[in-house]
Amino acid sequence: MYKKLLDNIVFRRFLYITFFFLIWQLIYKLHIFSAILFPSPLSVLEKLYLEIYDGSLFIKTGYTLYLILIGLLVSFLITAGLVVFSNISHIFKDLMRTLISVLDPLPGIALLPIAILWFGIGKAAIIFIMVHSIVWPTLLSVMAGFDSIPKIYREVGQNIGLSKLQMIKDIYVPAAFPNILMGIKNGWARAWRSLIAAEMVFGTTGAIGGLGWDIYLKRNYLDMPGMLATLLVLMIIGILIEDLFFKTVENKTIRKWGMISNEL
Amino acid sequence: MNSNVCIKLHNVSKLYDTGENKLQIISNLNLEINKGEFVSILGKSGCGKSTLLRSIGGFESIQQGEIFINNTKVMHPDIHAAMVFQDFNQIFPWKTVYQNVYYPIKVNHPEIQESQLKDHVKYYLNLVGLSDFLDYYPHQLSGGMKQRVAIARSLALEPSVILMDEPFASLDADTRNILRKELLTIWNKVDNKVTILFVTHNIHEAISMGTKFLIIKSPTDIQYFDNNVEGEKGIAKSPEHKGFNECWSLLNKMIRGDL
Repeated sequence: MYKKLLDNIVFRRFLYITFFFLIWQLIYKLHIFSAILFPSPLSVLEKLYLEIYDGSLFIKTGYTLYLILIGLLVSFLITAGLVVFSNISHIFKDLMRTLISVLDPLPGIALLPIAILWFGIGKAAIIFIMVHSIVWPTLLSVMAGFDSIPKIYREVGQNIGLSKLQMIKDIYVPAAFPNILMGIKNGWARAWRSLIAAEMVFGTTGAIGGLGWDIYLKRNYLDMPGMLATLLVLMIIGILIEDLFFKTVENKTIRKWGMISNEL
Repeated sequence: MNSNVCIKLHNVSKLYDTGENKLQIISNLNLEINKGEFVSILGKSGCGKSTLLRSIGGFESIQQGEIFINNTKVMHPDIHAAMVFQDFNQIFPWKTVYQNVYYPIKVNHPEIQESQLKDHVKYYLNLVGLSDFLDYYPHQLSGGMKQRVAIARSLALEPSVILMDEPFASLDADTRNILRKELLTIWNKVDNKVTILFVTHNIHEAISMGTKFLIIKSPTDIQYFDNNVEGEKGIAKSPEHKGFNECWSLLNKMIRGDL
């Protein structure tokens, strides 16, 4: 009975987290650190509850997710366009490779001052930073995916009389899908990190700000439980997207197709 | 042209240009293959068996001459000459067994009714013995089963020619034997309507299945003749059949260049 429970990863994780909170509470109770800088876990959860209750959490979270969605959408459209062109022209592909190797190592947040001068303080500058963070690694991954499609898929495609469009839609995209998915995953991870960073520097760009700005703002009020509560929300969103969303997509596609090793 | 001719090669030359040296593969080959033949193509490795097959399939261009399938000049790969490769990856990993056979027909004949198409696909998968694996993905299948899917896919397209490029070469001996017999049985079931060109480096395999031999001795010396080993059409020939051993040593000598 116990063994069965312990075999369950969710249960084990629950145990670890409970244990973590207990240690936290213990340290708090021992009054080693000032309660202002080291609040109790209960006060963090209480703060979280209050923010959920008055709805402010949803507005902040919604704003951050809204920004990231736009960023991802714009980036994926640009990436798709660049992939199409680089598959048409060799020179363009070569140019893209150079651009990637030059621009990919450049941290998005370093472009922020320039972005502010170009686009002003607003959504456009944040989206610019995100697009820069997402496009290059995603493009690299997707291009590698298309380049590594086995010749035999193309030959079979020709043999069964596929048109150019059918070939792209039904052969190239699924064949490159492991790389495409990896690119999207990387894109998300980069966007998430650069967005929170940009929000902190920017502050609010209108009546409302996102989660990054929220943490920064709470520092001014020395609202330690509030800051930790927001961090908790960031973690939960990260877990939901990476563990639930991408895992599900993976299980329904490349894992089902055997195009990924099962060990991972 | 004789109406019984399925594949016609007229003065075909093929060479590989590696920049510095030109490698002649086939030189001025003239050949007519009748409908319903099972041609075993044999030759030393590197002699151009696969290249010849791929040229007939339109996968490679030829430098001189013309190739016709049913009086139509071959310009590019086409469903009338379906290829079965040696590589197990020829079936798409993202499609199930059923979808792998279904998709090519759906693309080429969108007008066929869904229920009719379903029966058609199932019929051919049944022929290769995969009825119980319709919803399996390729990675769940053995190599032999993957090759069966590829064979079903090519048969289901009902092409006039099936080109087989050592499809059983990567399989173990037992599976290879079983598949040879099955291929002949299936070929009989479709009334030998389809012409099969089968590249192999295995003399036994060539004799057991072929009605004709195409032996590539050199680019200029390519011979095409009957398999005279006794036996019923559609049943794999084995050393018990009269003339098998003689045929084996004849082919062996030809390939080695002793004859």
